[in-house]
Amino acid sequence: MKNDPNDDFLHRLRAEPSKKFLSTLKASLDRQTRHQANARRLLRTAILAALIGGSAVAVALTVLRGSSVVGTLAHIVAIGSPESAQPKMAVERSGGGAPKVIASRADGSIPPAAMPSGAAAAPDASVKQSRGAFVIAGPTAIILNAQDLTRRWSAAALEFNLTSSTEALAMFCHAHSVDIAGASRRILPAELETCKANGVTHVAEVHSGYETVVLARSNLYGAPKLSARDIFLALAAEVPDPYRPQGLIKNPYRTWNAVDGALLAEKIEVLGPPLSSATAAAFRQTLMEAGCTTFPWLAALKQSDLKRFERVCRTLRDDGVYREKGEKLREHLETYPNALALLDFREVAARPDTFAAASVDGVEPAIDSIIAETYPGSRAMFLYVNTERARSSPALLSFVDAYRRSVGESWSITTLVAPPRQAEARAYLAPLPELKF
Amino acid sequence: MTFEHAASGRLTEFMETNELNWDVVYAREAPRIYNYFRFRLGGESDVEELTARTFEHAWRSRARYRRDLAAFATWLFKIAQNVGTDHLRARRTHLPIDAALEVKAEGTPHLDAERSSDLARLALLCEALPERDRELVALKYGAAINNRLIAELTGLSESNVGTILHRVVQTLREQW
Repeated sequence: MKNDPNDDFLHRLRAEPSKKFLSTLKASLDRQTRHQANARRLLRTAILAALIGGSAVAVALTVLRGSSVVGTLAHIVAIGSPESAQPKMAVERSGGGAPKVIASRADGSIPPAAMPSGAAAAPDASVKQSRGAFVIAGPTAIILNAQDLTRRWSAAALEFNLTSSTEALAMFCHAHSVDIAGASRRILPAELETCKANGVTHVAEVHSGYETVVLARSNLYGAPKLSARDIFLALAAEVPDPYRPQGLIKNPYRTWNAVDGALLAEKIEVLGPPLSSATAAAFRQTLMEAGCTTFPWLAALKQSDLKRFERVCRTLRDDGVYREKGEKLREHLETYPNALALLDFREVAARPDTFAAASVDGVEPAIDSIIAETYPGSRAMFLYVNTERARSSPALLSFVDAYRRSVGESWSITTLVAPPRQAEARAYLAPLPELKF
Repeated sequence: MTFEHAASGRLTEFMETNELNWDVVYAREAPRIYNYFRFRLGGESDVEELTARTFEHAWRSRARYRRDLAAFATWLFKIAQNVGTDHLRARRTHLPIDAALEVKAEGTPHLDAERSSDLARLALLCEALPERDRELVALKYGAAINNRLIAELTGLSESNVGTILHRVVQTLREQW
């Protein structure tokens, strides 16, 4: 008999799952529930035990030493009080514009008790006393990381120049106007030649971690699987015109299945940091660019017309599909299953119960894939140091050492996502390994 | 329409209770998720596994489900959609529409076999439809949920869902 596919017929295609399957699955879910309950009970017990034990130890110590708990607390408060860290002004020059003043600590050290675990140790006192001024130039991530270190330790008059990698390297090699150049790529042989021609003949390259960005949605809905091309087509301001070879059109895509037929017919919605942020900049230069270069004619622009390449591949759409995240990001992601968030890898790694990071081209963002440089949303960062200058400036040497060790020992405290690249990341800096001309 | 109305009624009752009884949730929702996957995949293969995967994920996260933030059905079906999408992306095949002609829809002696054959035939016809339309068919006729919930799940307006489904059913009827 041949049925007509009318409404009722389609409904009649439904079938009840077998009772055996339903009961087996239910039993499995019940077991899972019991395990979760046991785990929660254990956790509660452990916390309670720790609280009781801690209190008992505190009381015992107080009695034995005859000292007051109040005195101890007062000491801790004094360490962290504003008086112990009088702010000092340093100058930040941004992109050659008017200098901006930022605050950094006058006292180069912070007490060990107040340092985050895993942070590199502060430079010793003799070094601090002899610090002088020096200049760091580079992209946002490098500068933010340097400022973070400065706030912790530095007593030197530091100047920060926020600029592109290329410009930072040019300033480093051309005019001797910076002592450290940060870059999101390795220095080119031609740039090294320029350095040499301008008398900067001692240059050290320091791996300074990775900057990694992810797209994530609420963990409630599992990790999405996207390709770099999906991401580019979903978020670029202009995309290739499917009906006109090598033509561009204003991004018309509103749903993911319009971008890729294998995806769901869900509204594209991405929440992220301001476009001026380091994370947004990294996103444009990693995931967006990776997707853009899957179109051969756009990839070719990198050689033939770099400005156009950067405009097409790195410009996010401004029609509301990408918008700045608000304070209640987690709640928004839980409410809107289709919503994605652009985040720094650290944020996602620190809260795996909240976010599920998208794999890109089949690669999940993880420490291993970042170090192996297979995850397309990550890029290695480098510092280039004038070692001749470093030899006569303990402050500079000390700073680079601190920067490198902060990256190597505690990637979680840095602005960069910087898992230890190799064992060398932990090695002491002196003598700086110089590049060969 | 019988199924849709019944499902909507149960869902309303379910959403209006103060506490979620997860046993009741399971008994009511498992067949809907199961049938969603049958329609989505166009057969019985992998359906049980994907249904189990959906519920395991939901059960793991259920302590964090907040009724003030998302409707329960939206939450559960979103998990199912993601599980289904991942599965389809992994095994995706494109069959020519002509292949539909090779599927026999008649001559099977038992109702189950007939259903299975019809489901396979429907799946092949659906291959020619856009992904969005296939999803709508699975949600409407597999999961038997109403247009309002489908609209929430797909981001379409409720009237748009109705219009598209009407057109899709017409198309299927012509090709059957």
